[in-house]
Amino acid sequence: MGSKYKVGPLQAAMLGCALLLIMLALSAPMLPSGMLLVLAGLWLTGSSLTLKCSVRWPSSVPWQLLPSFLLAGLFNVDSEHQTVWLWCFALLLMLPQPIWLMILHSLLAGYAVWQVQADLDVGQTLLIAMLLVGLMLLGLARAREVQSAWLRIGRRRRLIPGARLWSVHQLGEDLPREVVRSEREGSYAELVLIRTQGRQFWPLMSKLSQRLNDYEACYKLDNRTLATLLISRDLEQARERRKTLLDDMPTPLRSRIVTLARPLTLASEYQALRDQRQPLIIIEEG
Amino acid sequence: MKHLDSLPHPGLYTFFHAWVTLLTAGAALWHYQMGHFDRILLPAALSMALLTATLMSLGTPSARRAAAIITLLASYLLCAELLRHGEAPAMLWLGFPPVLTTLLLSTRHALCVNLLMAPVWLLLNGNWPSLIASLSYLAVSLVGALARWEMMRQLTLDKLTSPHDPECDALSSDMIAERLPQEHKRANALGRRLSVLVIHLPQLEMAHEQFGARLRLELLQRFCQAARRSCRLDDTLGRTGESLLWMLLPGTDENDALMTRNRLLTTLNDTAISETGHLSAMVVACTLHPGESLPAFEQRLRIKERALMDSTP
Repeated sequence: MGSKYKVGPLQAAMLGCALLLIMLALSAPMLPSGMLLVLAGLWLTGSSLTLKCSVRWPSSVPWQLLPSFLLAGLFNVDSEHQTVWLWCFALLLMLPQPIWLMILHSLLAGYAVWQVQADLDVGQTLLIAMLLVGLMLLGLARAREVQSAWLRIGRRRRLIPGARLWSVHQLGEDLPREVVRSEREGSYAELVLIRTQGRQFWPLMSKLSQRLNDYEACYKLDNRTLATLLISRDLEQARERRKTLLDDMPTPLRSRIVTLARPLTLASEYQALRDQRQPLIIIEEG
Repeated sequence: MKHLDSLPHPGLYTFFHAWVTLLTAGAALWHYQMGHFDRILLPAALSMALLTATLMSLGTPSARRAAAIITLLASYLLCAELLRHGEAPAMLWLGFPPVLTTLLLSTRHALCVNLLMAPVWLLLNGNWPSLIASLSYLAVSLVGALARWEMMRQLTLDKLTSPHDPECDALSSDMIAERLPQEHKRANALGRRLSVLVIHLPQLEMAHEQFGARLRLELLQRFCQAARRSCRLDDTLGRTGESLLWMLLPGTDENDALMTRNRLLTTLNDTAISETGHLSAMVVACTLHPGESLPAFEQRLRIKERALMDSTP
């Protein structure tokens, strides 16, 4: 692979920035603004420590709200001493985000300018407001390419870089392909659906991918359901592999294993898994 | 990571330069109205430089980068003049230069420039800087760098999670490099055959030189369509180089691979493109020998690739 998903330098920079913010908070002239800066520092520390896991969360979580509100909060409680942060609204617009957030950032920036102008004369206020508008437009210009990348990440096929965990959309394409292929090859392929509790999902996923062959992949159907296509030489090998696959898995577990030799659709099997009462159902031949 | 630094939206980018030009010219007029005749010269002269930058921002990528540097220098001078005069609240203007630098330059350059310029901005009004001012300046610079890093992280994530090539309907080179070992393993584990068609499209480079990027892209996409039509559902097409593709044919022996090759060449012959006539491709079939290791097979494929490239006049 050409490039890897590395978060080390970013993590270090975030921690450094958090440290700076906390030092600033300690020397802040007023208590409320100091607390807001501490909050920002803690948030940066927290997100730097969870950066590796953050690819597991949906990219649509509007976390940009937090820095935006923190900034607006600073101008609300102490507009006299915290003016240096005013220009950071332009940085916020650089981030990929939904349009309603961009509008909200702009409104909050307007509020911040309003708070600042009490200490300034008309000319300066005008200059600052116009410059901020210019910088925010430049931020939007920067955001363009990342914005489309971010939209693609929202509906991405591969859920985690480097891992063989794919979206349900990909399974929709791989399933008919595997049906054709295993029939032509004479291999025995099965659709395996496993449903567990929400917090058991990631342990289950890592256990499952250890037991799969390189040419088999996991698919995430929802927050509790995993699927895979199990490909074996024949029925006998399939029976053996099923046993090792489901052995000693985190419970409670409900699974459904259906051969691809009989006509099936993903939607109906998924529904059947949700309705099923027994912990394990195996359908071998049509 | 430099290649991941995206170019900004052209229209908005030019608009920003024009906007700063207008503001600077406006500042000159303002000083004239206010009777500060000694302060007119700097903004008036700089608005000329900024006008040049605005025009340059319409040009080629390197001209746009130069425009960014001119605007940055002009804004630095204006901001320094404001700080020097001491009429504006110093803390407010202290945050402006690092943010502007972050928005205009690439991530790494912006951070370096901001750190190098730190003493200049902090010592400008003649006094020893307060602790809060220095910390604030550093924090704003670092926050800017964090925002840019987050953008780069998103671009990397997008690249690493999309299996498809950005230009055509085939798998990306990373993905096909991952897929070949999987198919090799599957062929060995289940005792099946595996063939690969190594494909070189000699027209791509020529099309790019003579007709530009648009025709190159069209040729590539038309080829992928034709390849899809002539292969089975479970065959995989992936891009391994600028003009090189692989088609993985699982469960296929040498004869079937040659038949697929012929089918593909026939389909290509029927594909008419106005500028170049029909699509041409050089295709070699390569079948995995029983017991052949993955590195050996992959090396064989690479040698075939090179032979195809070299045989092109």
